[in-house]
Amino acid sequence: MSVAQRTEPVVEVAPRTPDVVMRLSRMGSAHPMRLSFLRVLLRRLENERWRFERTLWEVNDRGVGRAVYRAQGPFRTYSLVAFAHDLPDEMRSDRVIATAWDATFALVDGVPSPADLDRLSANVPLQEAGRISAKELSLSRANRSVRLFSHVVDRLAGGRQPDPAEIDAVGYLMRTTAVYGSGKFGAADRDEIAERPELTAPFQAEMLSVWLIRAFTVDIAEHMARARGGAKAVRLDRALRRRLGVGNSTGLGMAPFLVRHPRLLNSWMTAREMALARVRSLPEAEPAAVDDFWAALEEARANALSWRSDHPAQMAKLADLRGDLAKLAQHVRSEWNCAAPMPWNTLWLWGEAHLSEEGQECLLALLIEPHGAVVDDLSDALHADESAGFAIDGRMSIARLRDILARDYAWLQRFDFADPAQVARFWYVSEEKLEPRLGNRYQESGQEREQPLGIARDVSLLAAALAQEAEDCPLSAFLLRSPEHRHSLRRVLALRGLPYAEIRDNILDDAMLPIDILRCKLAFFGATRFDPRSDRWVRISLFQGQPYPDEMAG
Amino acid sequence: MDDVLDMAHSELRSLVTKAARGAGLSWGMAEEAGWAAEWLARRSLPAGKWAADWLAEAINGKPDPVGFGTGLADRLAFGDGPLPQEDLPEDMVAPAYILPFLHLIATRRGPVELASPLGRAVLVEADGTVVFGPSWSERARSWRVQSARIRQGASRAQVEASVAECLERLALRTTVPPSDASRRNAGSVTSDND
Repeated sequence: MSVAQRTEPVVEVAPRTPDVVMRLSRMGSAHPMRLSFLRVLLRRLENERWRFERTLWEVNDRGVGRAVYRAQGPFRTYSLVAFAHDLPDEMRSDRVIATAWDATFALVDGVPSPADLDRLSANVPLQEAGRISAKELSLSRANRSVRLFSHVVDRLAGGRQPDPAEIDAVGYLMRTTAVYGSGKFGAADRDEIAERPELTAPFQAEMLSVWLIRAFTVDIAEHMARARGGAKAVRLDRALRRRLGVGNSTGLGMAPFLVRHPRLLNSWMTAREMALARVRSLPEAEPAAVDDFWAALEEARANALSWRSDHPAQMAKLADLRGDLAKLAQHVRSEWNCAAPMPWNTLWLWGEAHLSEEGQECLLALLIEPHGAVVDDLSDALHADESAGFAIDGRMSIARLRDILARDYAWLQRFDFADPAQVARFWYVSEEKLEPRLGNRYQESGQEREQPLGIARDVSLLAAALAQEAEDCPLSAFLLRSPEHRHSLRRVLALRGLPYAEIRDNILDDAMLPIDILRCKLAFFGATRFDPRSDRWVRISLFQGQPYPDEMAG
Repeated sequence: MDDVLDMAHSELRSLVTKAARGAGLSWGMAEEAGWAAEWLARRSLPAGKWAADWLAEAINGKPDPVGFGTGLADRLAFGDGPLPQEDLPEDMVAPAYILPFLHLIATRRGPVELASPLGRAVLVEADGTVVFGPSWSERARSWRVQSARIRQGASRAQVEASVAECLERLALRTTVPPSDASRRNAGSVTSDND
């Protein structure tokens, strides 16, 4: 039975509350799952039997040149245009300050003409310093993992396969350092393409770019091995190839997104929590689902064992995860009664009582994994109309707004913004590099140019200002006197009825870890191997273990 | 001549939001400015240039169209019935930045116009259509906001008197000036009183 024909599942178990879900420590324990964006993309490509072809390969023996990869769906075609460069090691940087990369890319809407290729070749290698057009859906770049790339090329050139341990230790030949879309640098506006079914879910154009980039990273390595080894060179073993993803290196720039797109965040979280509630509500466990759950659990255990990080916070989380998964496997094997009523709910409740947040969030991903028929339609609800709620009804009274605040923002009572430690941080954009950064209010200058991301603090200030107003005063009069509260007031009104829209923590707090925000977003992307390099910088892997374009049935 | 940047609407919105904040507007007002810029750009109006114009004045504390527009929309966008008339600050630069807020009002209260003693400057319809009138200029000149008259059916054309007068003057230029010869030859050579 297709998803479209399926009737709405009975949900007897309520979704988890936002007070549980929307805390930073839990968001920072999120795991990729079958509603993650790259999984949504791959399911569609497979179900709709998309076809893929490398239509251009003009790369010289030094690995410099250009290539085009075409993805053809039932209604539209997209093309990844790749430019391969010869980058000196001393110029390789993952940060936004870089001005040159090993490879640069654009995803074109349709098939690029020769004139398009010329235009792109003059702009895409420049990245932020160039311009793309409404014909392009994304702009991105990638740097090699110098160690693994060299190892793979050396081995293949010599007629040997690379060492699997080396592949697993790094996990990718190249890592993207930025993937821009949605109108950035002249690219097509999101709302110009959002109605297309294949691009309605979030970040689908970006995910398609990265997936095609993954194919390019292997092609360029094999090409350079052939150039060096000639007839002796071999292609990369298909099983080894699967173990390669695309790395991604990202920093604070990603963190403000979840704060600035609360309606989208609400959609993502609602879909995931509804998926969990649906599975927990199932009256019985199908034998095939139990088998698939076991398979997913074993895969998660293997992944946790091979997942490496040198960051103390992540090492502690990894230890928790490995211990939790062992405990979970033991419980499932010896205690869990899958024949009892609502067995998945029983298992979840056991997890809540016995596992760390890290283990619980992994269990969530494991529970929904075998239940595609129950949850996959929720991927249709991952998007959001972010323009809704922009206009403010200035007739509303102060009393009404106070009621809304009391109902939706009671969680603010946990904070004391008179405590210097709770407002120690401030988010700002650096003039020099135009990248978001996080400063210490008491040690760094620039707080007068603070970005409006301290939602908890700002809404608290709004509440305090409202306390001075007459109950029947209309908001329009209040806003005329106090325009500094307009952004907070709009937010409070616009997010009514969206329980998972706000991170229910204080992101100005001295102890806040930006990597918690990054991990939540990256988990929704479908990222694995979360490997923080500091509390605000992280590497991850995308598409590891997933098929390549030439493995899709077509 | 300047090069022209081909910007995405969201890109312009983001740029104007930041520029407005940089010019000293509150974050909430800056969001309104960005939103208004996108609204105008989607109608192929020069939102970037106008933003630069009014922000250059706003940075010196002069009244700005976004401040006026939000104040108007906050009070009137969700109400019913005809609008009370409101005068615009005299000489306000880039008054087109009020139009997005008039649209918010028009969606619920019907067409809204900016009018001057010389006639209509601009009309904003409920569907967001903008029709500029003959007294439109890049600075507000004794303008006021008011409900627009409900338009008649499409079988009739609504033309402002000043426009009609202007057109008629032009139309006259297709005619020949009077002369005795002309008058003499204008009719029958015999009396019509027969």
